[in-house]
Amino acid sequence: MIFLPAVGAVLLMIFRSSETSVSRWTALWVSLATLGLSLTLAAHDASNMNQQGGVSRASTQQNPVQPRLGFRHTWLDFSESHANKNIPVAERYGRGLKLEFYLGLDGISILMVLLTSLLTVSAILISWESVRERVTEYYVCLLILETGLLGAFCAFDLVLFYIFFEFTLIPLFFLVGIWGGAQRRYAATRFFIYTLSGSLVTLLGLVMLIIQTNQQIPLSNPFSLPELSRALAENPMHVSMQVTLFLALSAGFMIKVPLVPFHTWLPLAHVEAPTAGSVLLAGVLLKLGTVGFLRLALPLLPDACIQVGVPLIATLSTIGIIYGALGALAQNDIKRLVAYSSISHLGFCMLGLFALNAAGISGSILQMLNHGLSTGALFLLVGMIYERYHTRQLTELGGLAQKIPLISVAMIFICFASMGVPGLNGFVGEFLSLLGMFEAHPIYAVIGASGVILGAWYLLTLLQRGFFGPVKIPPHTEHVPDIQLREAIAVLPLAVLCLWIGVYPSPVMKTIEPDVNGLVRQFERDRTTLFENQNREATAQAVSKEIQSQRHQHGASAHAVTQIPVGAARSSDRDIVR
Amino acid sequence: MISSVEIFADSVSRILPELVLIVTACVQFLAAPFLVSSDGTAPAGLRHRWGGLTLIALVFSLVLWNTSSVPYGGASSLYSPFQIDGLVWFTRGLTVAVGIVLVLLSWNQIPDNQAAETHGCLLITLAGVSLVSVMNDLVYLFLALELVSIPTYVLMYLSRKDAVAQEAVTKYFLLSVFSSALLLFGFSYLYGVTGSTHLQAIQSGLQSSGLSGVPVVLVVPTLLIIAALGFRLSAVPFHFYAPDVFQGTSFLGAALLAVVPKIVGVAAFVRIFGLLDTTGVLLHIGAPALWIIAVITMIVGNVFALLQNNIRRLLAYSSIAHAGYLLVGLAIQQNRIAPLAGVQAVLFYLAVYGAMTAGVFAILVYLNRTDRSIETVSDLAGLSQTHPTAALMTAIFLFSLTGLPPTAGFLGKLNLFMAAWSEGTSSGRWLAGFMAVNAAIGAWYYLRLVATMYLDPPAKPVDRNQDVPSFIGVVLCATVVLGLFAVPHWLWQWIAMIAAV
Repeated sequence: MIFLPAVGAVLLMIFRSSETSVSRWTALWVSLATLGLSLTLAAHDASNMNQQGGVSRASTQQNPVQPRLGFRHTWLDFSESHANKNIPVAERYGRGLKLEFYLGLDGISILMVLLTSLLTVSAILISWESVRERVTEYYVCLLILETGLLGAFCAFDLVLFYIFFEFTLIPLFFLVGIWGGAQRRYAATRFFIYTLSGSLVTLLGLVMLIIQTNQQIPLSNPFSLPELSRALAENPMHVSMQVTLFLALSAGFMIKVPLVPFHTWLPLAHVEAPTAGSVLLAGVLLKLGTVGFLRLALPLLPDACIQVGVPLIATLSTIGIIYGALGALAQNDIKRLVAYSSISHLGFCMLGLFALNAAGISGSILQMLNHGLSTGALFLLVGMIYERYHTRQLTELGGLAQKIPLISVAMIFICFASMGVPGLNGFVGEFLSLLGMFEAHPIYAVIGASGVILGAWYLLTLLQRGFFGPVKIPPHTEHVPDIQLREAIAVLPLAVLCLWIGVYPSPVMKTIEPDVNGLVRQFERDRTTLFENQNREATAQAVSKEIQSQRHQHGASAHAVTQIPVGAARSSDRDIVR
Repeated sequence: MISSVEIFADSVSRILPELVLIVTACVQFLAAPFLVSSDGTAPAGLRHRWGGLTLIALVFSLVLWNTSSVPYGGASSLYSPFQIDGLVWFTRGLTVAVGIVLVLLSWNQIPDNQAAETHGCLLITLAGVSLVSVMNDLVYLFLALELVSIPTYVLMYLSRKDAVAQEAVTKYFLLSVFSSALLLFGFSYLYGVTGSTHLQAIQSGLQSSGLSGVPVVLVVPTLLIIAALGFRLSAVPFHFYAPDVFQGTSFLGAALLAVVPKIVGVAAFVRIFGLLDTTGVLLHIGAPALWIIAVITMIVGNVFALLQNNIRRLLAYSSIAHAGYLLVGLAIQQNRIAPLAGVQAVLFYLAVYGAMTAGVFAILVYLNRTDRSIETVSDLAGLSQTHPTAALMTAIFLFSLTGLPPTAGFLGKLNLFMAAWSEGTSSGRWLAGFMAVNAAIGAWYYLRLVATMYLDPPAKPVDRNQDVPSFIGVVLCATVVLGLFAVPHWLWQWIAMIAAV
């Protein structure tokens, strides 16, 4: 499935047709086929879960990370080297050190794969007419990017994950650099160098991690994520070592997410990228960072996550929530506004992740999905508006609801989803993330919750200035068409999913439940052992009691906090109506 | 008692692939004057025939290499100066493969009346490269090194004769001779300490000599040998010739200098320092110096490459930076419990480096025209629209040089990282750290080339290219660069066997 888009891309490249429609249709069919395949896999997995029920959950209890479907193929084996030397087996070089082509699917990857393949279809549809130069190459890039993303989400080998992680840079560099806006060259180069420098540190961290583990614990294959996570759960590394590794691994992921001091590449890249590029960049690519934390940092370095991760990442993501929201508030360019809102939303994601409990992590995964859907859709809509009016400046636009009512309706709907109105997806994700954080560290959750209010503020400002009030459009654009069928097909599934997840999130939750449980179990045990080591069993009990009582008390208040934007939304609605 | 005839036959059988090359070169030198008329004109298309002959010789040598079994460890003989082991097997294969690309690359670049001499010199150089790894004796090793150097001077001079080229050749010649002198001086110390020129005897002599600590009598030769071989690798501070010479000579000369001396340097290094069988005393002494040189070389190469506008100077600095990466692998002390040895990583990287660098030069030859030469970076502007396939290939090579997946360059760097880290000392970890920083700096200038090709509008009108041989070379290199990423095991299994410490 992963290589289907790549095969499509290679075919396109070989038979580079001058007929642009041919390459468009090929790309569309290939992406649809990928979507179909991933849906089949998801359905297969869901039926498996229903049939096996407890069994599949029992099998995941062994390893903190365990794919439900897997494909392994040995790729580069370092351990064969010394077969004919008379060194005892145990002392041979490269005990079991081998790179594997190990792809698998667990709940998290199923969701991400679905998101990627859906957004790619939308991205291809939206660029149908807006891309007119070097069309074939454009679709080749899109399809290659899809391959990289799918691969990264399905990789269960550390190095393989890194390979796909890095590989996505190349097609995105071309997408931004060739088909981007005025400053595209600068934006593309900056994005590339910025992320590459970060991920080289991550690579160093990975190498460190593997070699250190391999020297301590003989493993049949230390590159494999499930085996490595089990080994490290059984005999954890020294905490200071874990902290070093955590910082090294985080370097690349923090840039990718991006957390606040490392975010400067993002607005530029988003604004300069073509619409499809922004959709995939915001919708899926940023998730590589969060998935990186989820896949590597949480299961492999649990103690470091508790000791350094929580204070560091939670602080940064709280800052990010507020900073992103304020940044969005200050923007005049709609696309820039959406870009800054991404920083804010991913702050919620990271906040939930580092709550390190079931509610937080599943909320965070849900929030990844939500952000992909709603921000992807926002970028699609912004792209449509830009195509019609050739401007994205809020000062030049106004009252669009009268001119292009259907696009405006979609915009309002998606904005509501994005700001977390109950009944839509954003609410569930943000609520769970904040709830999780509230249980663990209330202070971050309280500050973070104010981001929800700010989120409602900037999105409503956007709606008010752009879509209501007196009509204000650039000259010579009196008679632009409203949404077209092709564009509607691109946006509609995203909107439907936003509603569905908002109303009935339980299938999603059920898919990720075993994986989240696998992760969390480790933290529960880990917290206690950590405290035991420091001879503070009593404190631990007190803390857990306190947490339990807090859960009862503050569950309600956290709920109240997230309710605030609803009130704000309603009052602003009234403003608009008046 | 073994008769001298038997020794002779034995020796000949050991270096058969090289003999094929040398005999072919002799035929070319002898026959060439009779095919060129007295006023220096040659029948048109003569270069195709000589090129064909050279290719046949290389392929024949490749077949001989391929049919020989891979020997494990030391089939060493005290009678013969030739030692056949895994390193020889590796170097031979690599040399001949690089040679085939170089012949394809130079095919249409040389005038008909000089074709025989150029190809002959090339063959002798190649034979010299693989002989360096065969030699088991300091004196013969030195001879093999000179067998590489001398035809190189001729080759560089033949291909371009203006003032710039003369300056380049002279510079290279003088510095090369100087480095040979250093090497000989270093060898003389080794002979003085151990009383033998035979490499095995020297190694065992050093180990049993009872010299403790860091004896000065060994420090001097170690540093001299490192300096001399550093010149071959174009390591800082012995790199000054590289940018000027790359700029001054032809593409063939530059490609030759970018790849061949690196193979020679690594092979000689592995031999003299005894990296394959023992943890040499010399390496122990030389490691700190190597560590410093590796770090400086990486930094200088990458930082200066950022400043270059001339594409050959840029590639020269890039080749210096890659020399730094190779030195990282060489500077690592061998560690028995490490997952992979520095030597293994270096050999893998060397093969990958050969493919990607030869590929870049083959592309430049393919694009170069007498009326439209490729000199500065901006000459590549818009290549993706005028020559899409060539641009794609160049992008593959450049991403490989950067060390990005899905190319073999990534695996090469990964291996070096792992080897450096698993050495287990803090100096090894620092090396890995410096390498990561430098890989990020290097990404800048490679990316600049890619950006120029893909993001800038074409500067010059399209012209269809017909230089088939160099394009075949490009495709071969690209196949290797991508293929070694997909099935690295193909190469790694042999390297793992060679360097089983």
